[in-house]
Parts: sequence; C-alpha cells; structure tokens
Amino acid sequence: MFVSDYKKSTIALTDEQRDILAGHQGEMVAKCLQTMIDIGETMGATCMVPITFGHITGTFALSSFHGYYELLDRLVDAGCKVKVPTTTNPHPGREFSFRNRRLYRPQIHHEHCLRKLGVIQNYSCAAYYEENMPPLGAIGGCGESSVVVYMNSVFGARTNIWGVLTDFYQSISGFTPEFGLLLDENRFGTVLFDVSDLKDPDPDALGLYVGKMAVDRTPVITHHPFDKYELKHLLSATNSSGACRIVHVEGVTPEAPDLKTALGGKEPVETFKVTQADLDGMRASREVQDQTDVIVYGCPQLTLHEVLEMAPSFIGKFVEKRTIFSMMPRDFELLKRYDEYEQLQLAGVEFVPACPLTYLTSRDATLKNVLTDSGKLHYYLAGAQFATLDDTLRVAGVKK
Amino acid sequence: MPTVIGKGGVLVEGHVKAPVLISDAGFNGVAAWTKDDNFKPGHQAVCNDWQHPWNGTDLAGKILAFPAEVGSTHAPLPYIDLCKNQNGPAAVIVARPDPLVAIGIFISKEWYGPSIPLLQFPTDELAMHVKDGDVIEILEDGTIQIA
Repeated sequence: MFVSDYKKSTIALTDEQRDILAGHQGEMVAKCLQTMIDIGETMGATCMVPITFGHITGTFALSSFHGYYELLDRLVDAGCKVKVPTTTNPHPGREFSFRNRRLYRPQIHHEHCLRKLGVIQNYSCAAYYEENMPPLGAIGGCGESSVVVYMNSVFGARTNIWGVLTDFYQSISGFTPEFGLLLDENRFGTVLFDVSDLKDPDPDALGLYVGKMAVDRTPVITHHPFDKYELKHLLSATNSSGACRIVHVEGVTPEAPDLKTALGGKEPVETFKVTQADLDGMRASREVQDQTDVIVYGCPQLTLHEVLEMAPSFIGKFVEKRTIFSMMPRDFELLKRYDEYEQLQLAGVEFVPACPLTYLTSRDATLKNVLTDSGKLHYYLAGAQFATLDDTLRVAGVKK
Repeated sequence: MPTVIGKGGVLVEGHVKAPVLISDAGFNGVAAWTKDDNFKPGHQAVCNDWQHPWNGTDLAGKILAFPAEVGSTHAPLPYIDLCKNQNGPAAVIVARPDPLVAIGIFISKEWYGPSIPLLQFPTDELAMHVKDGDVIEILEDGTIQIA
C-alpha cells in the first residue's frame, strides 16, 4: 500500500509577524498573513521572509465570478494598502466589444479597488520593462506566470508562483513563505536543451518546445544571444507549455554564467538536441493559417521597441486580415509621438492596450480563427493557432 | 471491509465519497472553467479546455486526480467559487501540489467556510487500483479506499 511521505511543515514566526497576527496592523492584515502562513505550511516552508516587490495577476473583473472580488472589497473596506511596490496585470479589454462590456461589467469598480489598495497602475503583464525591475536575489510575491518566470530567470530575483488574492495578501502583509524558488537548491537546471544547431530560433516556438519537453523541470538552454524582448517570448511560452517558473540560458541569464553553474554542478537528467524541425512542428499548417480571421500580436504585451521593429513590414500597405497589436498602455501612449502610429493605422492595424487572452475569450464568429506569433496566447486561447512572425506577416498580406 | 488503496498526504482535510476521474495530463483550472459555456447555469464545473482529455466533461461532484495544476495564476478564481458554492469537484488528488491548486481551496475554507479535501497522491498509483467512474472514499486522515 502506498503511503505518501508528504507532511505539512511548521513555520516559526518572528516577533513582528506575531504582532501582525495579534492584530496590531488590523484584523484584515492579520488574516492575510495567517492565510499565507497556512498555505506556506502546506508547501513545506519553515519561515516567512520579507518581500520587496509584488505583481498582481487578478486585474480582470469577470461578472460570472464573485468570491475573489468580494474578498477584495473586504480588504478595501478595511483600509488595507500594499506595503511594497506592486505592479498590475493588463486591463481585460472591456471596451473591445459589446460582449466584453457585459462579461467584464464590474471592471470599473474593480479598478477603483485596485487603486484604493495602492498598487502601481501600470496595467501591463510586461511590468518588468518599467516599474518593476528587482535586483538579483530580491524576494517578491508575484502573480502572473509570465512575470514570475521573467523575474526569476532574467533578473535572478526570487518569487514563487502565486494566484489571485495571495499576491495581494503578500504585498499587504509584507511577507512570503520561504520554499520552492526562494531556496538555492530549487533553482538549478535539470534538463539541458542544446540549441547549437539552430541559426535564428523563433523564441516562441523554442519556448513551446522546451516547455513541452521539460514539463515541470527546470530547463537550461545552451548559449544563444537572446535579447530582453526575445526572452519575454521564450520564457512566457516555456512557462505556458511546461509550467517552468525559471529557465536558464547559458551566458545570458544571471544564474547561468556557464552550464556547470546552471546545472548546480550535476549532469542533466535528460538532454535534448533541438532541431529546426522540432520548432517547425510547433507551427500550424499553411492550410490552417490561411483560414485565419484575425492576427493578434502581443502576449505578453508589445513594447514600443517591438512595434517600431515590426512597423516597416506594414507601412505603405494595407492588411488583408484584421490585425491587432496588444500593447503595454505606457508604450502605446509613447507610440503616439511617432509617425509610425499614424502609418500603422493607415495600414489597417488596430491597437488594443489590453490582454488579448481576455478581450478574445468571448468573441463572435468573425473572430473565430486567431493566428498569433505568441506561444502563450496559442496555449491559452481556444482557437488560437501558432505561427512564426514571418508566417503571420504573410497571412496579413504584408510580406510575401 | 473497504479496500484501502493508500494514504495520501493531507493538504486540506475532509471526508468524501464520490466517483473518481484520473488524468495523466496536468489540469488547467482557468482553461477548463472560464469559458463562455461555464457562465450558463449548471455548467460552472464543465471542463472546457480543448487541450485536456476531460474536455466536455462535467467535473461537479467528481474526485479529480491529476499530476499537477498547470498554467495560469487565475486558477484560484474558479476554484474559490466552485468550493464556496459547493458546485465543483468533490475533492482533488494531485501528485505534485503547488500553490496554484491549493490557494482557491484554502481561501474558500479560511474566508468563506466550505472546502473540499486536497490530497497529495501519485496519479499512476491511483490508476493501478481504480478507473474513471469508480466510487472512492477519502477519509480525514488521507486514507483513500474503494467505496
């Protein structure tokens, strides 16, 4: 008979934490901390450690769910505020359609709540390019899986993955349970991906492949000079298909100066020699691509830099399929200062400074078949087919 | 005497008897439970994840066994409501527990009251003893037995 060796741990509290639990900062702050302690003990934590940054995942107010939003109201009513700089995920795109105005009807109230709780109103899942750039080794409590994997991998900051409400509970109490990716021994890679035969790998296709093969294990990728924008795509796709919360790239990410260090001095448990055929296998067939109704870019959201890089493909032409750029709100405002903004609009491009996964979750038949160069959007959005950037430009009719 | 399958690690205690569903694929609560169809009355717990073998199956009242919760940090959103309203799964058995699967159940228990058992137990071990639809019983101490 199988008997699980799983056991809950016991968290030893500091005087400051005991004071919080005793209600010295209010009943709600005590309850936030107590919930995090209880969850921490199920995860094997033995202490609570202070955090210096956070990121909120639950910025969408879905009218059909109530539990989360009622509890957020309780925090607001009690006057709770976040104690550490805490950024926010994107707007859901309530204005995108009639359907969304109904689906996200409580959104206006929800954003009032977020403001009252004191979070940074950036509304972007790519928060790591602006207000939220923690130093190496900093400890945080982040929701939003693509933020978690970027913080851990690119900054070498430390956060476990947290879901709705617990991100708030940590930012409000100021503490997170110490387990998982907060500990050195859990950050080493275990699976090696050799990309030396790839000339110019599509980061999303590579991410989907790596995640699919790594599944829950920590990947180490041999050197390729990915820039910070390519890393955004690579990491979010890896996390989507493989639940990988940290990914090392040899000579690129801070905890992988070399393969030996990234692997913690051990041999990889498995090694994959990645081929271009592996990456091509991630793409939808040409027949499927040609059935596209709408082409969507920006999951995680597009930066100004990325839009300006893509712009020449569109300028002076007109798209043959509906084409949407989902941009970070801050960078969308910056884009308006550039000639490319008007030129892209003349090319038929639409800008939606919101989350494509949410503004397309409920959509009419004219938007049924989505084509995207985002591994993450492909993985999460039903009906979203994956293609490389070049594929999408061909389908958009702006590149032969 | 009921046939004891094994003893799971108890993350959230509880006693329940219900049909089991076992999958060797990770479960994504957001992909499963936040689609248009889930907003219809009585459809809140229907799995609408086109990438999961349970796609189209109503998971209400079932004991769900899967290797790990995968994907989105919005996973607690449906879990909280399904536990609070007691119209979701009867229990969850997961091989590799992580915060995403625990949070929604914990928050419903600590902030609203209702909860469901959450156990750690290997999916493949469970599949050696029972198949989909078999009724099993989970006891407070984590014992899993054929009802």
